[in-house]
Amino acid sequence: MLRTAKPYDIIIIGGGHAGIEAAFAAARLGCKTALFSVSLDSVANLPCNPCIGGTAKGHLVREIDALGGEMGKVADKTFIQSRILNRRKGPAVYSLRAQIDRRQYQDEMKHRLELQENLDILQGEIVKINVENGAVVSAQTAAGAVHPCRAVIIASGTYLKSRIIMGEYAVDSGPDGLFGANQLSDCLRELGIELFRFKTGTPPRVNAKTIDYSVLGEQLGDDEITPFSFESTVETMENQVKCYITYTNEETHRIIHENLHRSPMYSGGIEGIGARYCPSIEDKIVRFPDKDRHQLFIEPMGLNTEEMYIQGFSSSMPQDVQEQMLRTLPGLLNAHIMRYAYAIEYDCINPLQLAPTMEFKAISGLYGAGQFCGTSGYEEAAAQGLVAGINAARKLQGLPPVVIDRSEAYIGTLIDDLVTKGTLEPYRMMTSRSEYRLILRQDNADARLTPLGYEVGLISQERYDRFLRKYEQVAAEIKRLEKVIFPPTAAVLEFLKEQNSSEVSTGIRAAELLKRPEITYKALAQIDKAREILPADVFEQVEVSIKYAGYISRQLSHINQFKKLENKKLPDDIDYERITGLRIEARQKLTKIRPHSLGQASRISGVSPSDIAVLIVWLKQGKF
Amino acid sequence: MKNDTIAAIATPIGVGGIAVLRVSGENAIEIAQKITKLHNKDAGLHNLHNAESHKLMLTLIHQPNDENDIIDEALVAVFTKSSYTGEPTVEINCHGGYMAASTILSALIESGARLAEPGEFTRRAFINGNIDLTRAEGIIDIIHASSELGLKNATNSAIGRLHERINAIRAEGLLLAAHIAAIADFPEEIEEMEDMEFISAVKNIQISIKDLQDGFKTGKMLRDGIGTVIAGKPNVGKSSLLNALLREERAIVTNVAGTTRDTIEEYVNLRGVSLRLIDTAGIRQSIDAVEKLGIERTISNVETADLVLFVVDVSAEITTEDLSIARLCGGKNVILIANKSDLPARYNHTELRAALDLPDVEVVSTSTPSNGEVSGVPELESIIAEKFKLGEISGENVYIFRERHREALLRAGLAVERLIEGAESGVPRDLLSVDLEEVLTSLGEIVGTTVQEEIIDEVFANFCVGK
Repeated sequence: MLRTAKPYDIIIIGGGHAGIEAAFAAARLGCKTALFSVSLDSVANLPCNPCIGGTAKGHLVREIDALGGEMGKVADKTFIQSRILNRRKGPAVYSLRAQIDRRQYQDEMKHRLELQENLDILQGEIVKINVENGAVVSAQTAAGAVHPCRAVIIASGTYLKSRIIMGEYAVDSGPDGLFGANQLSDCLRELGIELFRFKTGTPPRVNAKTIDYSVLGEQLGDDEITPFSFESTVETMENQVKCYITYTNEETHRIIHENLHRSPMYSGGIEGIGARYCPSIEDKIVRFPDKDRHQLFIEPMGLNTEEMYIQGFSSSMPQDVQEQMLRTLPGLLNAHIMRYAYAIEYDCINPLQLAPTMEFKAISGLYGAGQFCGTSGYEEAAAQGLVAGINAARKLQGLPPVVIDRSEAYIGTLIDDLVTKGTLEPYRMMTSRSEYRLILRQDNADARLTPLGYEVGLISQERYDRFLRKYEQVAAEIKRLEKVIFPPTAAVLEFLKEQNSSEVSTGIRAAELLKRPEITYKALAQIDKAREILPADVFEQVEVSIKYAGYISRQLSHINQFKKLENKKLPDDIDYERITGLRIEARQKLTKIRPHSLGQASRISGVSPSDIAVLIVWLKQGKF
Repeated sequence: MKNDTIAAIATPIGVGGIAVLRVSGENAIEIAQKITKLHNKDAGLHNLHNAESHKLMLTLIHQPNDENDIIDEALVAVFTKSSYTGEPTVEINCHGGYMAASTILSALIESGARLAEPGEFTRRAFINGNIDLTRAEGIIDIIHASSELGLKNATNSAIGRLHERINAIRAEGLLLAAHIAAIADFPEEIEEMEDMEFISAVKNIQISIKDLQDGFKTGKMLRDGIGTVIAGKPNVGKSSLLNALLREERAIVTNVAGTTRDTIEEYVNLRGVSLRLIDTAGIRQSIDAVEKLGIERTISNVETADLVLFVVDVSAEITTEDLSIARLCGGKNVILIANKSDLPARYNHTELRAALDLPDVEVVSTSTPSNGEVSGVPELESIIAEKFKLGEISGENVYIFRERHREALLRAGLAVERLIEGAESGVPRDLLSVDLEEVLTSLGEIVGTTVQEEIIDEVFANFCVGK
């Protein structure tokens, strides 16, 4: 029995990281919004790693925060250990990662959703999306409630027709024993949407009391904690747990080899496509036979639990093999598994069907976000959810779309990759996916995106003013350092000697000294007596801007090149079939994807540089 | 209008017995029809639309509105398929000279064609897939190539080898870039490459780039020839030397009209490479003018020359004129020609060098009497060949010769330099990847993996109207 139920502007399917950001954005921008989840106890679940951030992912969280998203704030509130990775490398690849108390994170996030104006959160499975004249008109629950709406954002994660596999055992189920969503896929197919089947996996969790810590390496958090969010205050943040390190060995590898025939990845029990960048331990051993050991991290799942997550030990082996494998690891000889590792298969879409706004090109008002669009990772999901939420709201309000390009953010890079290149495996963000990583640093995400967040309406006036003040301070300090001259006094020479830096015979500007790789802003304090005490995030900007000025300006000039092609718009009505200089594959791809600019066209696989050259000349024809 | 019909005169104005006009575009045949009357045996066709493709027909070309106002008699061919541009094309071969061709062009424009922009025919060929960018560039090179080896260097096999070389360098760079990316993205799993190893890998790339850069001089020489000036005061035998060079080498390449068409350059083929004797025609025709303009004219010629053949009369006293030319030659690539050596010489080679204050210059004795035996020319040629290492040039090697390639390699070279400097002073690798990427994109411009509008514009800007 169908019934007409409460109407909404925007309905969001799924309460994971994508759905959450979409819901907050849509509701905060004034749309009547509903978020449906198959179980409200699974909202904001971290079904895999109990951590947020990491290489490139930390950048995404910072960017989400600068646009007014929620992930960073809640991570800062519920983290139990925080660390910056790649500290010894350059600032472009510093990456913030935090271990999270999983339960606390879920509770905090759910509570915030409950408090949000304009937002209803409901337990229920959406099984059908009704489309009339090419536009979304309503969404229907399994119980028969038909909610009229003007837009739907699908953020179904790994739940569509999900199937869990451990060796020979397989069961239709969502993660963590939750129900999957088994009907929506069919509706999507009927709407003409192309589906893929992807696979991902997770390692076992073991009980802490059965681990022998005495033989494990420890990994501690940073002494000085860096928050994700611009709005968090560092003073109250503290590391509360340790992580541990162990390694696989010959014995582990032997057990895996002997039981490979029982792994569904190799016996053919799994049809979904997995991510190369997130391989199971059996994949690693098969693909890197020369490596005699693999590093594993043992991470606590929270403060009020003894569950420990064995990072790097994903597996789809049968339970008995998992036990044997685990007991070969130093410190885990007697470990008791609480949750076994498993692989999970699920339906997702070919993201080439989406526009950069995350809207389906063929169905007005239908959006996708998160793992549903072929990605993997909480942060990737949240980023898409935020963009989908913003754009769905803006469309309903008659405002122009917000599209972030590759030179502005990892978020832009992520979405451009998805909708331009597509993906044939779960897509994970990496710093190497960006051509402009020196500009897209995590430390300047606020500078890059706060103005946009403010303009869109997700950043408060108070925060925006504080942001402006920060960059005024940065500019003033840079100016000061460019003026201050240190004469070659005994104190200065002594300082240079201490820093293993070459001598000076004449006065030298502070900015010049700071450009030397061996001299840090902090160390410079010894001779820079006139300086004011500045907050860490301010002097960090100052230091990076001065120290790497040459590199930054060269990358900026690359960005100018990029923008030129990006600004060459391709008219919507180009008939690519008629441009016979294009190779046939290029004509087909261009017709399918309909890129908005020459730049986007140049990134489509199957469109070669010579095709782009043809388009450039074609666009100019008659205008030379 | 993307497919409007364009027309232009495809042959140089004012040269040759015939001129060719080209009309291309959707309405090419219709437009040509408006000014064309088929002759006798083809008259049965009534209309150019019925004409067989690729076949020349005798026609009368007339003014658009008056069939009896004949402009010229001309051979016309219609290309309905596989034309140069890939569009319907009509080619009109009329009488040479300025009047006929330009009147026909006006008639075509009056009938609805538009005057083609420089390079527009080739651009259309390109858009329609008849040629690719490399071939478009190759066409320019072939138009410009001045010698056998130059032509060989310009052909596709040489381009293919250049691409191979560049791709090999790029592959080394990509490996390093991938390594930098991998250690950034998987810091817990991948070991960082040692500094020594990293720097030496970059230095290898630097050497390869430098090798290619060094080939530019040779490549340019192959394409443009060796710009050679025969300098000397009047009556020392410059023209006879030129004639001797031309006579010695029976294969006189051609008289090539330069772009401004007012200076004539003589080409002499020397072991596969062109000796481009600059402005010698001018010198020959107006000895007086040289006397009048004095050194001034010679100055500019000598300054831009790749090689100066400085001719003196060894049987006569060195004069102040000789000395002032000698001063100009200082620091240039000079061969001293001790001409008239059949007469009693006043100086031996050492004395001559000393008298002219050109201590390290090579000297060749020649004699070029108008009615006697010419001598010394083979020796001169050997010295030139040695000077330009012509023996080492092989058709199998790759020499870059395009300014665009030289410039891209220059940028790649500078970026590599910064890369090494940064690596040696301990700049983090992920920053160095900014320079590494610049190396890769610059090299990519040469092989066409990097597309930039400027490059495309530059390629087509080198064409003239009618091409």
